[in-house]
Amino acid sequence: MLELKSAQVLLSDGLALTPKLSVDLCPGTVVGLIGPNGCGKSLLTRAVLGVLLPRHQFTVTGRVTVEPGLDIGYVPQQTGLLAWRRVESNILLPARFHRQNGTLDLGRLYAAFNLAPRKDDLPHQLSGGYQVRTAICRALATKPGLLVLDEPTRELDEMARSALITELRAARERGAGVWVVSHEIPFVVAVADFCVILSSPQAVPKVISKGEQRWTDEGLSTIVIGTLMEERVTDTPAAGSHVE
Amino acid sequence: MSSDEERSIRKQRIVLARRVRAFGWGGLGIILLLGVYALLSSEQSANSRGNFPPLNEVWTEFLGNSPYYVSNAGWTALAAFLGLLLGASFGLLMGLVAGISNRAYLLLTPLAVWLKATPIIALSPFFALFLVGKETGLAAVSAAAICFFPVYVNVSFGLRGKSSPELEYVLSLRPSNVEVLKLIQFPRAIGYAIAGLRTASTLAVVGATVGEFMGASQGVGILVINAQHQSAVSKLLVAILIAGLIGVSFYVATAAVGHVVTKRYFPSVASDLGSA
Repeated sequence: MLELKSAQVLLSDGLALTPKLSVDLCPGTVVGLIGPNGCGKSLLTRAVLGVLLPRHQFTVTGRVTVEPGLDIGYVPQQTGLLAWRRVESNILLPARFHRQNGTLDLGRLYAAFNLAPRKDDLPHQLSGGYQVRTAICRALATKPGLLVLDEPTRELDEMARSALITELRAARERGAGVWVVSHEIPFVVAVADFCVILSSPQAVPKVISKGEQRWTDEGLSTIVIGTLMEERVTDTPAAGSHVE
Repeated sequence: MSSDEERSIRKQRIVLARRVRAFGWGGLGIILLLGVYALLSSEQSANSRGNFPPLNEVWTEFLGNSPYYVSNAGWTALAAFLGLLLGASFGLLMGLVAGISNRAYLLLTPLAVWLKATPIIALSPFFALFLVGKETGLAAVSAAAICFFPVYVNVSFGLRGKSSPELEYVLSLRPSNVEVLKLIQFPRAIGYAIAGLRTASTLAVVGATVGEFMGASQGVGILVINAQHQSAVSKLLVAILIAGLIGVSFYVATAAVGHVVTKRYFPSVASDLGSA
């Protein structure tokens, strides 16, 4: 449903902003992107969605293929809530664009993320955590085939984080692909089937799959810290990964 | 009383207190200005130069000829209103076109800047060539010419706003251009458009008054010219006060309409504009 072949984001003058990444995300699979600040996780995420703005400043090389007609639920890093719409109106927005996979079960989502009392509020009346909850509900509401979440756990309390993990597992069960960017390794370990560890634009991304010995909070943390130390420079495309 | 009702009452009290404070400071400003004028007036009567007639003389002048002043004020208000309507509508339309199309923006903006940079007092005689005998029409066109720019610039700027997380999100839904306009660009431009309209509302009186200089028989512009010819400072001050009052009324009316519209359709924009 989503395939990246040596995909890389560059500035229009040719400066590489991200490493070259090859990922094949199959239905019912969750990929986690982790890495230090500024390594290009969000840029690659926006490249996947085709929303790198302003367009004239960026170039995407390689290949990014999203299954045609696939509905995408997106949680941007900065929530992207429309300030002039109330919470419920924001959550219902994708329903205007997505195919309906069954009825919208907002009541269940409201209960999971405790949003019912705030559904008539405007985004600026919400705390940061509730804004993120709203953005998550908006992405989940239409049960899209692909979920793209950019640091969804920031500002979330334990209860909401736990609800998110439950929802992502449910999405995977119904066959959705999930692309999740996070700095929280325990969260990635809890939801992902494999993760891609990015470091500098020149370094080759590392791919660690569930089931490997290193697939623990400590194991992944050690790798992330290790990649920061390596400073490996290469021009060769990143090693591809394919997880069934 | 429920906690919601208590919250609502508390909120109303805060809003009321904010308004009282705003009007209080505004009133204080006017009182200070009148105080400075009264001081200058008393100073000059000691030196008998006569440039600052006492306030009561200005008031007496107005009361003595109030129907005459009110009638002239009405003409200017009408011309300014028509000009504001015309200029703002044209500015909104052109701003919309320039906001959607980059080519249109590049084409229209230099013309708009040229129109704004040319003094209205230089443009009005040109308009007069085409509007011979149409006094209100000339004043209204002059007002429209001066009102066009702030509305055009604000609307086009609001619509052409740079990338934002909201735009990024909406684009991820793969919308049509019309949907992007409806969902993002138009609501985002509302605040800018209202700010432009507020600026234009005060400029409309300037344009109408200058238009009246070019051969009208009524209006605040004529009051100013007559007062100047007669060297009647009291009459001149009454004319200035009337022009200012019309401008302030236009500003308040535009702000109120803008507030009502945004509160109804774009509450978050209304809360941003509320403090202004």
